[in-house]
Amino acid sequence: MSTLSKPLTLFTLNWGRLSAGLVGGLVLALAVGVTCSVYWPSEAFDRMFMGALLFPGVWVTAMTAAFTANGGKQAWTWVGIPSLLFVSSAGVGLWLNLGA
Amino acid sequence: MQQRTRKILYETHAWAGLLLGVFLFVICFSGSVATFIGELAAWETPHLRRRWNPAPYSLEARYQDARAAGLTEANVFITLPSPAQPTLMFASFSNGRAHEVRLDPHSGAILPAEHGHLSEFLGHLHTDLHLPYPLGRFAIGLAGVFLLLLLLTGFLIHRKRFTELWLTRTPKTRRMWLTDSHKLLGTWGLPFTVTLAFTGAILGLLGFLGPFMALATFNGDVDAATAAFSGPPAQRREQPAAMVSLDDLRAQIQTAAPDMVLQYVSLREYGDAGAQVEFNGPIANTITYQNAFVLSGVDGRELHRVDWLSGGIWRQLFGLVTPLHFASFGGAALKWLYFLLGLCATALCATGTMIWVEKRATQKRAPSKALQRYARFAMGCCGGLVSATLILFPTHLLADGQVPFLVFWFTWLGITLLAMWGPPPRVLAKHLCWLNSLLALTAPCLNGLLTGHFPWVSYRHGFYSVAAVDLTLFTIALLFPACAPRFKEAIARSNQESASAATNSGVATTLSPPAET
Repeated sequence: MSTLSKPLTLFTLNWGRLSAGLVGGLVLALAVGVTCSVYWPSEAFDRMFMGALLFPGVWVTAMTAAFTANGGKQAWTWVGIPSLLFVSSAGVGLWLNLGA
Repeated sequence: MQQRTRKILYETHAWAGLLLGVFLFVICFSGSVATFIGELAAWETPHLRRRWNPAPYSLEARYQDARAAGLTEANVFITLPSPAQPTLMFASFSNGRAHEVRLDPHSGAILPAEHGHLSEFLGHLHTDLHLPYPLGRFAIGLAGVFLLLLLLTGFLIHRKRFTELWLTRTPKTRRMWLTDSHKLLGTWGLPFTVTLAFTGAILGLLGFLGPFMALATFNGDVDAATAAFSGPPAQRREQPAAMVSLDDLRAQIQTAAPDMVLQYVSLREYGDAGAQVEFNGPIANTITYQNAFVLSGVDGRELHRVDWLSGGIWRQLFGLVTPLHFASFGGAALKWLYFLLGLCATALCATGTMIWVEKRATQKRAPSKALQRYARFAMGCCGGLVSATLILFPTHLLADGQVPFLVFWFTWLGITLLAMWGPPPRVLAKHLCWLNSLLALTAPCLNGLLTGHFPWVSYRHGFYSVAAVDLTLFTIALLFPACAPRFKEAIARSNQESASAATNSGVATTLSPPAET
């Protein structure tokens, strides 16, 4: 019997990987969108639409990466660090933008 | 790819498919049907059937006819005639109620305002699941995201995706047949399914994403962003003013954008000094969303323009989302392609769920009651939706008001319950095939008997949409009986295996397909 045909269990993916993919991935996708809407060098609507168009792809990629990580900690590292970076850059950009 | 990674992707694919398979089936099936929403609108309302006449007509004269018929509101939405719906519709909305006037665009004859809601019902099932906004819409959008995840993981775990593009082996077992079908549908339909899932996710979650994307420029105010994009709203000045003729404004648009296919006109604060007239429509031979011109109603001055073909690359890409999802850019042939590929995506969801169930059923231990219950629920929910959709057509011709929709919900619920606690799934599936065939046959026959519009009459009169819907139903009526014998064989095999399993282990089950070797 091949590895693939062994009985499936929910989950070889643990809750750490699941939460990293689902929640962390969602935060990352939103943060990427907002960051693009702040910094992308184009007209306002181009930036807005860019964020919306990137959203599904970023979330799905983050989910795939998190699920295939070696554990919850690694999954959160892979998704969490970029999320933090993008959230902070979006926050700074918004703060500067609104202050201007 | 490492074996461990592949296994995780496989499990992700299997579990996401299990949790969402039935839900995605509902979305894909209702979406396939909703592809022909315009054609269904022509079918459902016999007294509005007209031959498409592309000859010019006076919009101003028809608007005055509508005013004479009582449509005196200042804000009016006009749907211009199209081949699928060759009537002019004027509608205004106030206090949550719609006031509609329908006219023949050439003669100005007032047509009965009553119209069926079958197409709207099926469309709303796909876009909102008949749940309050935004609950249903967001659920659909999320389903789009997870369908993308399913497609990506499915693509990655399918090792022989290119060598198995032309599978020629004869499946020896039911599971092998299901697996081959799933792989073929998934691989060949991949570009289409990815497009639909991606655009569906964007359209479904737009209401959720809007405030985030508008944070930088509009402080999260989506209304302000919409006003900036679509043009400022009309401001009533309480000064009556003479309006420029709608025909002149239309001619002005046709000069400025000769390739624009006008579909809608919005009159805002019409008759006032602050009046606006907005013309919407796509550009012919392009994949683009509705371009718009907002003109002053007083002097025809251009106040605002929405052009999806200009601006940055992301804006242009976003303009592709709606037409790519609704197949609004390639005529009838493209709609048929979308319909068929949509059914393939539906079959992909169904085969995926069936593979999971069969795989679990053939693992060492006997299938659990929960698994059997799930298999029955999935079968009832998916099969019930098809029957409930088909029953809408004859009941719509026989009953008014909400009756057809109640019949729809009760049929769906009834079949789901019957599947869970009634006869074995394969027996029920065989009967459903015959029921669906009967329902699909009844609808065009009833249409012919009640309106005289048999398919050949519809074709002769130029009601091509009506003829197409009837012929499609006839085809469906012929296809279902072709599927029934397959279930008959499966029942016989299942009974044989159950008897053998009972002899060997004392466990009899309704879910005992032969194991794949």
